Amino acid sequence: MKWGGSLWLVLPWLLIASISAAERSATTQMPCADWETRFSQRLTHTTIPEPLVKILAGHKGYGFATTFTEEKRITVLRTPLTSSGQLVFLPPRGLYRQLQKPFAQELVITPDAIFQRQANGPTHTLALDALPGAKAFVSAFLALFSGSWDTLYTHFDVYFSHQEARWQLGLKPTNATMARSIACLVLEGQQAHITSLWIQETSSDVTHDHFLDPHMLPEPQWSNYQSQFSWAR
Amino acid sequence: MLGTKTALAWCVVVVILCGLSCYQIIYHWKLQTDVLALLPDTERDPATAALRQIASGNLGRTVLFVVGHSQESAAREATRLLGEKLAASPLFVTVHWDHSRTQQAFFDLYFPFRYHLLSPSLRHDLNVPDGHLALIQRLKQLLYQPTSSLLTRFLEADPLLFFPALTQDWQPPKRKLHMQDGLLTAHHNGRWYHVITAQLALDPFATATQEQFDAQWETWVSSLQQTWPGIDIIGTSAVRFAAATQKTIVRDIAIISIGSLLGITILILGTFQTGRHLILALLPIVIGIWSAIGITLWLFGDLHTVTLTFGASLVGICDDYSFHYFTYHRLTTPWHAQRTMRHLLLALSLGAFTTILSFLGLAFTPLVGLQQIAVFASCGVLVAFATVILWFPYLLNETHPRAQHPPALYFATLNAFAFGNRYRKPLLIVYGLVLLLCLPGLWLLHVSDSPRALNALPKDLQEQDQFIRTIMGLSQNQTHLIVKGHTAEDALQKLEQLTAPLVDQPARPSVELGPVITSFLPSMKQQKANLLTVQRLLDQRPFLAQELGQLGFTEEVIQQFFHTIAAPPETFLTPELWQQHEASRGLRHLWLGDPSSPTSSTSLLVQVFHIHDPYAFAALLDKSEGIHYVDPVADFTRVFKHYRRQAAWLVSGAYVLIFAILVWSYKARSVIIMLPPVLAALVTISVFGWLGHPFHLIHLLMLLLVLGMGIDFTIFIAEGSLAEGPTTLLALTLSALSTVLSFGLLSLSGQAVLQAIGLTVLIGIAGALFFAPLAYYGRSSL
Repeated sequence: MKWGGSLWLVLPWLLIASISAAERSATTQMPCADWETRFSQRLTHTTIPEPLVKILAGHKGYGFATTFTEEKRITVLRTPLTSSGQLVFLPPRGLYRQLQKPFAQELVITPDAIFQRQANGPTHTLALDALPGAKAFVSAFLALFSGSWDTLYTHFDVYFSHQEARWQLGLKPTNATMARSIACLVLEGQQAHITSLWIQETSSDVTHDHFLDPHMLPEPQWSNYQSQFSWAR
Repeated sequence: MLGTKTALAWCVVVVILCGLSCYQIIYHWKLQTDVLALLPDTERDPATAALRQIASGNLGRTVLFVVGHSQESAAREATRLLGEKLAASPLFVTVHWDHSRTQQAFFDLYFPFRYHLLSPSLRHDLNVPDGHLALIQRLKQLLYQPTSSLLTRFLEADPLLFFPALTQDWQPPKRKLHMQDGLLTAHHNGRWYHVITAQLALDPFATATQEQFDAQWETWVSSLQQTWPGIDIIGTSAVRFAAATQKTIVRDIAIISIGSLLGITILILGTFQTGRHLILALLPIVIGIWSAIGITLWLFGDLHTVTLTFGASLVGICDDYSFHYFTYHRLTTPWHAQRTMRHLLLALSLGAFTTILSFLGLAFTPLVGLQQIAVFASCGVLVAFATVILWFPYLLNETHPRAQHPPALYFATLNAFAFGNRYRKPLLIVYGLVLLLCLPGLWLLHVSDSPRALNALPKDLQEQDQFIRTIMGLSQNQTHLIVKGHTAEDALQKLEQLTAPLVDQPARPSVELGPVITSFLPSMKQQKANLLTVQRLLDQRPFLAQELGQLGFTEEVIQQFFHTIAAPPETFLTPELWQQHEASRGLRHLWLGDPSSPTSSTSLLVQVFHIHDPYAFAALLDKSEGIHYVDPVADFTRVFKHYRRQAAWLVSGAYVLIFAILVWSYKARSVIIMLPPVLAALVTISVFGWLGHPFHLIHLLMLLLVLGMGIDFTIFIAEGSLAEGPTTLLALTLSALSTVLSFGLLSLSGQAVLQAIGLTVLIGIAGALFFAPLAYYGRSSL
């Protein structure tokens, strides 16, 4: 019986463990700051405000596409990393993210794997079963676009605030693995559209995605975007 | 030869033999349970010995538990509780379920050595002319990914992210487990499972350990099931298998001993109708088996459990000589004890001689287990035989009180005898038909040399073991590579040479290997080469500094990076350091040798999961020195095949030898005397064919016993006068019934080897009895 290698199986989670090996302080604008003043209370099944119900209903069963710009502030880097590209979310396929600047890169994120290729080069696959931290991250990411209260509520403590047509959805991970890397996420929107996404990590790194032309994709239009996912298998 | 003096001399011999047995049992009792001990010494090559060492060493002490529940929280809580219970038990020296600290241990050990242990893909990039461009490109790709947060904390000390690349390469290709809240977790068929590993503090093959483990196991399971109904608690370890084997053996010995003795008691009381016969019948059995234990321990130094269980079935053979004498005593009036014994002596002696000869035939096989059985049985039979012929004339010297009133079984045999006499030709037709029926069975016979045919581990434990392997994604394969080196460094370098071509072709490897120790502990040579490779980046310092600066790295971080790679290494990752560190805990079993002594010879183990391209793999092994490929199943199959061929010659030779002895004694009649055991052997083989039961080496060797005991029947018939026909037939029936009973019970054994012995002899003896009346043919009338 050869079982002694079982600990070998734990190695990939080293990444997650190692996250706690180095702590740094926050220095820049933080989406998790002033949480209590921005969001009055954590929502439950029975306290979902009517505007959020409408927003979620407007997304449920729909795909989503937009161009985006991203600013990623990594604490160890003096300057933020900026990029731009296109995002497509199709409920049955996952999320397609095409980076156009500063270089071409395509990613398809599914609940099970991340597929990546550079300028039509070979496809690299990262199976998420091996990386629970990444899997949790991806689950949260996909949950954001799902429009499903239940999915959101499974992964996050959910907060909501709105002022006329503008709204903010605050999310704090409930999963311990995810919570070790993500401090909070804030989705901002106007009426039924998501306009930006903030992600603050426990390392104080902050990512801000600004969605430039968000639009919903009803099911009949999904076939127009299948080719963007077809290489990822 | 038979007289008072020889009887007294035998008393002295019996006292000496019993004294020897008492001494051996008190001072040298050692029960062998290792199945591999059945193999000849010459087949236990060092590689196999190394694997045996592992099996009975660290891994033999490893216990794996899997706790599962449909609710994640219940599974988690139950795992923690069971882990705490195990840790508190004196049965275990270490228990691991919380791996959160282990993860940190990996960081602590390996992060300082991130430039000593290069990921193969990074090493490849660094060794090509434009490798530095690829490194920067890779860094950008990682940083711009949505999941970059998993890596950014390494940036300050490892700006080119060498360490994450290393951990990425450590990933096994097929993974079932993941880490969740510090627990090794699998989600399987809608249930959550967590793994606990523990090391036994005591010898898993010791009965006390097994009993303690079993008792505590039941307590743990019932306690957890009360708290969390529907919970699964599955465990697998050598201790559970050994305990189950031990229980099977104890059960087998009890069933066979009690069953045989009960059967014999009924036969004796039913036929001979006195308690004296019962006590006398037990006398040679007890003395024979007791002496056999002592002599076997003296000659072999230990007693295999297979031998001991077989010994229980010896009851059915040792009583044969008593039965013959008792039958005459039961039916003869007036009774002449000495004269009757002299009358029977030749037949009894020939019978004992052929039985002992057939057992000794087993002693000439190279299988140690069978040699021991042969010695054990030969001694038992010889002592029982001598006890009967030397003592019984003095212990049974009065006429049987009911000699005038034969038992019911006698009349049954009388009728059978008369029936055979009357329907002589139809009986021949029946024999012919039976033989015709046997022909397709011979055609259908499937011969197997696989050691799996002898695998008799309990099914439920095997299923649990299989389930745990499925949950953990562990290979079922037991094949290994053993890399031997004169020193630790030599062994590590050889392993690196072996695996280098596999690393170069990760997409199409000829072989899929388990964890390779050099991925976690490279040779000193490789570590130095890695550092030199990394130092080549200093040639590209302006470019790298510019690119890193553009990405936003501070000057301090950039300069620190160049300073770190330029500085001569303060230390290397040595085998001793690695072995002592918590991070190596799950891999230490791959290291065979003393890590604290760099100059001592070392062997490294690598499990072989799957061979995709046997030719390329063979070529790889040919090119490598000091590498042994060990495939226990294939090796055992090869050994068994070799011995089966040898055994076929041995068995055939024994039949020819016995026939030659018969020709010398009985001339032409020898053919008719030899025919029943030969036909019985054919029927036995044919029945295995009809049953679709694989015919193994053990079955083949047991045809020797069919010969040895079968020929007894025909010799007694040949030696008896026709007037004594029913008397002889009664004695033969009693002998055959007791033998069939003993070996029939043996065929119910949980040990596959004993089951094979029991089933073969059971069918063979039944066949021998069925064909025995053939020995009457050739005489004037039956």
